[in-house]
Amino acid sequence: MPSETARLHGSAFSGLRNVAPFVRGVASATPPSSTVALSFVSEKGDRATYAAAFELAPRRVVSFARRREADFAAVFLAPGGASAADRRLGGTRGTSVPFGELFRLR
Amino acid sequence: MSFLLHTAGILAAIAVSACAARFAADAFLAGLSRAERWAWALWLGLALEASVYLVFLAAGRAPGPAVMVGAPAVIAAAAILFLRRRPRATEPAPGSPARALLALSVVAVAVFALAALSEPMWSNDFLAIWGFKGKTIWFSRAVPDRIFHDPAVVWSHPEYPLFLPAVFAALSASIGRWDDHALAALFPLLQAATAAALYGWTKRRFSTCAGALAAILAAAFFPLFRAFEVGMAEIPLALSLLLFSQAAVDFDETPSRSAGMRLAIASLLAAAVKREGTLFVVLAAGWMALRALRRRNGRAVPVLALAAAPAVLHGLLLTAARGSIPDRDYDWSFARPDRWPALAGQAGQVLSHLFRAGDAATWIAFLALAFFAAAARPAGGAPALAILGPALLLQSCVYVAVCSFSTFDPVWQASFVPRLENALFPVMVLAVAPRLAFLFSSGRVTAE
Repeated sequence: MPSETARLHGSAFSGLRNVAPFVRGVASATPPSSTVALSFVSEKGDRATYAAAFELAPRRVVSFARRREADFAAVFLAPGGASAADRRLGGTRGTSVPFGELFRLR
Repeated sequence: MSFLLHTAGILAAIAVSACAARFAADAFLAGLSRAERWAWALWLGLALEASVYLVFLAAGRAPGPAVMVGAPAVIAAAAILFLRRRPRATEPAPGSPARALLALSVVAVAVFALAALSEPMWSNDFLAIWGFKGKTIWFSRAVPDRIFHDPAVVWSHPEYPLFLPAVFAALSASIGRWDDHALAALFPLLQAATAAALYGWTKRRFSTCAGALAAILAAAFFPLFRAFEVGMAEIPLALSLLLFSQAAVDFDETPSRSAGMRLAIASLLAAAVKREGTLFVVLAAGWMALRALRRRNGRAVPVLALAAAPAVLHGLLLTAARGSIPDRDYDWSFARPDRWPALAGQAGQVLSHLFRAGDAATWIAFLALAFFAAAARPAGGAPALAILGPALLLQSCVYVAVCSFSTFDPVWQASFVPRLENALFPVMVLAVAPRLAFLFSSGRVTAE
């Protein structure tokens, strides 16, 4: 689906339709004051990063490189999402969220 | 259903705060036309909402709907009861051509409202900057330090001013929840205020027909008033630059206390919206001061104090409150002589991108600026319009020049220039509309 068309159906997440339920699942499973590391978030910033940070605000959203600062790590498992290495970085006791897994780090 | 309720709540909150601003600011809105007064009222009302909200947050309390609607209502009631209202001059009713142009302006606002309200705000800069900060402030019930200093969100431009995020958070407080779909209702109102400010000012200076033409030229400028711009700072910036420009021309001709107040407030709010606002008011103030020095009329210092100082003060206070933030987008070391060859290379890339064959956007923008300068110079009803031409031209040149200092790809940076130029369009209309109004009227357009 072209991103413009997908945006009309999926609001702010543009062509990343699976990211929307994933991020909303993370939001409902984490307290607003927490810090969450997401597998696809980029330090430089891209559309998926902006949309996820906006959707999860006021939670602090960080990349996996900063997961030591995080209370939770969430791995996006849809096609094009996390690699096997990312899944291992998340932790061992994950809970399922739409299109991914959420790990409590502290 | 909740979307409609939230939208109605936000519109009601804006209406109450605009009424409060309208009556409380009667003294310095004196002499303006009715349309101008309401454009100012909307802008000042938003500033009032944001100020009330931030003051409560600074005091450690998160205000709810009762405070956010009650405080402006009390201010409005007190202003009506205790402030003497100035007598208003009667305004001529618009003729048939002007009525038709005004009706088209209303259609243009309705079209943009449809685009703005058809879905939640989604543009990149809303998600990454303005909405992200507004939502963080609203849910945190504070202005958290990490908005400025979190290395994980350097892409959110922590150095940008906070007026728009504060307005988003304040309007959310006025309905007791965050709804980024309903908040989009703000942007068609800003478009309507832009058209009203142009209509009122041009009508007061030239003719009703010229005013109506100015209104439709601005309201139907869809490169600015489009869905992509909803939630971003260019639409508020366009209104703030327009109000500043009108106040600057008024003050340059008649340095009254009310014009001076408008100039100072417009300068402050232009700086609070975006850094481009600070740039514009400083450039315009500098040019006005040079004119005053050349004419030896003793106005150079008042002009700098009223037009430039509030914007500069805003920047200093913001820096003092949040601390220094490195500018990630620009590498000013290119200014060192040993890096001039690299700077020249970047400048070449920027210019060849902006003025590339087959893309007329930049050419049109600069031709429009030249047309503005030509139209503004001999403007019979407002010769001081000539102060805006150099400011607009310098502003555009600075936009192009700073792209050459980009830390990242200068061509990518230059891709934002047309969007920034669009925000200058309503100011250009100030001079152009009176020159074109002859198309719709039988007589020569002159100052009233």
